[in-house]
Amino acid sequence: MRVVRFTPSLRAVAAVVVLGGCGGGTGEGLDASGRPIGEGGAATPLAPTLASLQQNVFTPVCTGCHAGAGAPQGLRLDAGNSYAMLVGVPSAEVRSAVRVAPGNPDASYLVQKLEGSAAVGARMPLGGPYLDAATIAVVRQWIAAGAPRSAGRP
Amino acid sequence: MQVAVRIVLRASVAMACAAILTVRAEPYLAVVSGQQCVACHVNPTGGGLRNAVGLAYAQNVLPAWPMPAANAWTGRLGEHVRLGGDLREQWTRTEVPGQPTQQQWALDHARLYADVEAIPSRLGLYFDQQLAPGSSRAQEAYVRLADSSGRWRLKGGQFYLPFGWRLEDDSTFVRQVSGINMNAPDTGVELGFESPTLSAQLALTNGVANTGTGSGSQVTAQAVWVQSAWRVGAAASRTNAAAGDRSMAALFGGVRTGPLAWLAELDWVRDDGIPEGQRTRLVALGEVNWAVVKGHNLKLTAEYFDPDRDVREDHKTRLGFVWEFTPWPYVQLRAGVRNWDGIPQIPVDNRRLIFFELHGFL
Repeated sequence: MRVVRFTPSLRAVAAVVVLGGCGGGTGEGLDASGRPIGEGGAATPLAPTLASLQQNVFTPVCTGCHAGAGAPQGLRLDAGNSYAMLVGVPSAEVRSAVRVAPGNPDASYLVQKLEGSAAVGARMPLGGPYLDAATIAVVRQWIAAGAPRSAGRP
Repeated sequence: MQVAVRIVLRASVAMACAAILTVRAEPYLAVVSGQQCVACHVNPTGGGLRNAVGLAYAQNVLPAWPMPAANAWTGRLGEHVRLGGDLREQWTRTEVPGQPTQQQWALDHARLYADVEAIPSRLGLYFDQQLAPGSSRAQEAYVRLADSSGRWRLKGGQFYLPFGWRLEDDSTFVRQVSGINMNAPDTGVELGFESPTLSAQLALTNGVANTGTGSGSQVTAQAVWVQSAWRVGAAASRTNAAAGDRSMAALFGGVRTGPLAWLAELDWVRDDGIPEGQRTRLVALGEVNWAVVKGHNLKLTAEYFDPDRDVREDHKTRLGFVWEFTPWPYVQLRAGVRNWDGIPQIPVDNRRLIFFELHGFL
């Protein structure tokens, strides 16, 4: 077998390290979901509302995969689509299950996927880290309250 | 009767082995060997069930202590059926700034592969069934046809799309952002061409996002030019979906320099139909594998992800170091650390993962 040889392999290894080791962005001018400040509205602490879950969970954690025309299972969780894709919508993975069943977190496929109890497929977010119990509890609270689109309105 | 009993016994052993073992693609091995994916896999685009050459490689070249040929697993159940499997059990420790550390043992996946050759080298049925976690579901299930020369191939059914390096780690930025990975099969047809130096595919599929009530289509094309010590490839994909369209392009390649095998990939992804209208993402991967001694591989991976070309200072990086030890055929122990570095506002983008994995494959 012909082998390509060049001595500066160490320099090339260093280049690979630099590619991943140069560090992430400073985040200057960005909000808690990594978008420009003002684009997604005012910052909100984690609370059982769609706006808060969008800003603290769906956008920063889920839209790495669940956005655009490549969204797995067709589930898009960006701010413009999450409500319409979740609430009262059958799961593409398990047709008999509803992604978010208003008032019934236990029957909501979203909760089952986040807790790892779904009948099919891997726990979400895929590969982890998984949402902690406190965050999932807030998702449950939002669903138990009827999964309203906006606070105080069904 | 004895033949039937023997077949049942062999099937039982195969199923048991598949249940405790697992295999995914490791494209650096193709770079090391200077071969195309089809040289070792039933699937021309790699991954999944191995053919006789792939099994011989796994039995004699990969492990520190090879298996005597007389005892070698062939995967054969009679003349027409070949079985295999893949299993990964992981211990992981995930540290996220400001959050409790997560630590657990978990089954990543257990998969059973089967290939039924109805007409040898011409017509076959291929299955990749995920047995766990969760209930069983098909990852790949397709019929494959080949012409008499074996150069032209046609797939129809559910399969993984050809786009860039088919890495075993679905959490790499290139596989996660492109949405083309081993957790996202698509349904349609794929025309392929294989020659000693060229591997090319054209796939027409539904589009991964076009499930349920969605409608649309995806066209994916890839070509790889293969030489003994290096290879270079290009891929492009276009998805039309009710949610908005997606265009993607990738350049990727690999080269062998002595004991080192290098992989690189650069992906460009443009999405329409998201809140601000359009978003362009850029993803890069560099990987070096060093075969220290027989049975031991050190893997260093560095990645870069810019989630929006129009937004400054939002990029993320990931650096991974993994030791892979293959003591015996079909068994691999992997240990490593992966470090994410992103903007401080998103703690999960600044996490560290330490893992140990038992990997079995047939």
